[in-house]
Amino acid sequence: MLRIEELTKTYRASGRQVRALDGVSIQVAPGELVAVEGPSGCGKTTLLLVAGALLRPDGGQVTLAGQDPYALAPEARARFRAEHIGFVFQQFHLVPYLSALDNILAPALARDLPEARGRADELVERLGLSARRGHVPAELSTGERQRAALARAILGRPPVLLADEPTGNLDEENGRAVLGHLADYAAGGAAVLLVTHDPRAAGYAARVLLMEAGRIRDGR
Amino acid sequence: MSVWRLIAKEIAYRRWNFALAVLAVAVAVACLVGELVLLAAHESQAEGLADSQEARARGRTERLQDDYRVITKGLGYNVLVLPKEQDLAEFHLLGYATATMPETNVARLAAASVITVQHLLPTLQQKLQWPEKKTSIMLIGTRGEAPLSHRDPKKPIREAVPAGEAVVGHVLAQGMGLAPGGTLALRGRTFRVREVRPPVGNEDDVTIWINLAEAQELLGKPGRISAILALSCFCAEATPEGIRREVTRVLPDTQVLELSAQAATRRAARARAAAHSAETLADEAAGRLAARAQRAAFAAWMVPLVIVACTVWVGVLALANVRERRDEIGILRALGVGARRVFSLLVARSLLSGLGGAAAGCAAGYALGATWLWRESAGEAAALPPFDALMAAGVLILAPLVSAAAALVPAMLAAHQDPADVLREE
Repeated sequence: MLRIEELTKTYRASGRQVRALDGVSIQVAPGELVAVEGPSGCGKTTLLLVAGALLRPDGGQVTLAGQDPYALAPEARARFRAEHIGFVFQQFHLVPYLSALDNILAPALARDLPEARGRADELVERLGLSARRGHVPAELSTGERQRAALARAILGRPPVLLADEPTGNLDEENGRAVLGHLADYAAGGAAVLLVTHDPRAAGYAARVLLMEAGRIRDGR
Repeated sequence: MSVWRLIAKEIAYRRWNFALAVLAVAVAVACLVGELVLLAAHESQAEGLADSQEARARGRTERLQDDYRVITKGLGYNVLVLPKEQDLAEFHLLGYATATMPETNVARLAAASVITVQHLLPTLQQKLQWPEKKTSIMLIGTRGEAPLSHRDPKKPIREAVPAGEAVVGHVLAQGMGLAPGGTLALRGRTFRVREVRPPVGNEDDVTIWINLAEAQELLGKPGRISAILALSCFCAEATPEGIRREVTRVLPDTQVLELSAQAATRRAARARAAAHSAETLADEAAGRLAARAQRAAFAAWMVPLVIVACTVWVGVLALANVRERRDEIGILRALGVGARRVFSLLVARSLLSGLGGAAAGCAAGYALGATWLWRESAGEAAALPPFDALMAAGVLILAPLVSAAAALVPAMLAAHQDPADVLREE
């Protein structure tokens, strides 16, 4: 369960204040995929970073697996992230010198995953990367890169998966494939929060929330 | 996926950055090792040189002392054994002893193993009128040197004058028109002139030396001598008191007169020779020390300067590496990799570059030092110092530590980088 309550976050830059989050509250239950849609700059990425225990909010609370991650010390919070949260990003953020398989195995650097190799092989197979497992990101297509990033995010079976514009750089076919995998993962019992402006996401999400100027305006 | 695998992959990916870091450490280590090798080699060469120079100086000293011995031999004897009843005031006024003692005293002294005297020369000396020439002369009968029973026979300092021959002082020879091969008549006896002495500026210029037995006969003093001249040895016991004690023990009816000025001259000459050698050696040693100090002083600022420069270089490379890996480190942090692990990952990479650089620098430094020495010594293998395993071990431990220290600040910055900053930049 991911619970976000009354989150506020303000950035200060060049003497200006930008209110990125203005009282946002969301709950994502296990097995649920929730999509947050909105225009660029509406605060979607900030929402995801705060929800992912990466960016401390100015106000409000995040509860994840019954725990407020911001109550933890930095090292403990990093461990908490490793055990409970998976991330998928629009730019993939794969390590450029590691093969697809090694990138998928990267979470094993953060926590002890005894069956990581077997799980990685299984994900490689399931996400259609078998022929590309030894290739570095520069040798992969964008769709393959995003699938590798998705496999990395779910290697440790985190109970919460956060995806930031995962289809933003993908074509129709790859976009659908990634959304399908996210929905499958949610169906496996995880809470998946997806921020996107891809209208196709609505077809995979249990709920779609509309975000605008740091606030949740509407929900379907 | 292990940290070491990640480091290895990253090194292979950014090989030039890593190679430059290795090169920086290698340069610093090569300078240090090369300098240490040269200093050690020069030290060892200086020791060898000092030994050979000391041996040469010792040889020179011995030759010089021998030369002085020969030169000072001409100064005469420094011990005069006189009859006990000789009035010394009279001796000093006349310049010779008027009293006599048995010639057998020479044999007794020679057989007595007296170690403080050597080269015993019995003489019978008397100032007398030369009636044939109507002038006064000094007549000295000499029989040459008495062999000492306890010593190896040496070349006598003064040759005996054969019977029937005479050695004539310069002034006498000049005044009387005498020349070697000629004859002279003295108190009714005829002597062939064996030699004319060169001028010496003392009573020797008016002296005639003849065979001792003939002098005894001529002066009516058979079996008698007036003095025994002896040269004291150069041993520590050869003090005036020691010589006097030894001689009078053997010959109680004699007295010993020390011609101290001459002895002191000889001692001073020999001491000067030794001092000269010591000064030469000291100068050599001081020169070597100064050269080594100069080289050590140069190394003392040059080597640390190179090490500091290379450490800064390693730090800058580490910073560049961290900046280049900002995105990667951000995502690793987002995945839950702790700051400590990120820090240790970057420091471990620097340790490896330090280790690689230390090994390469150690080998290069030794090779450079050896090449330099090889060229300096014109290809003599003996000039190369042995490989110092302790030094190599020290360098292999310290260089990676210094390299890691240089990467501390960049690693700390990377470890505390906010991953949200990177991810927000999307």
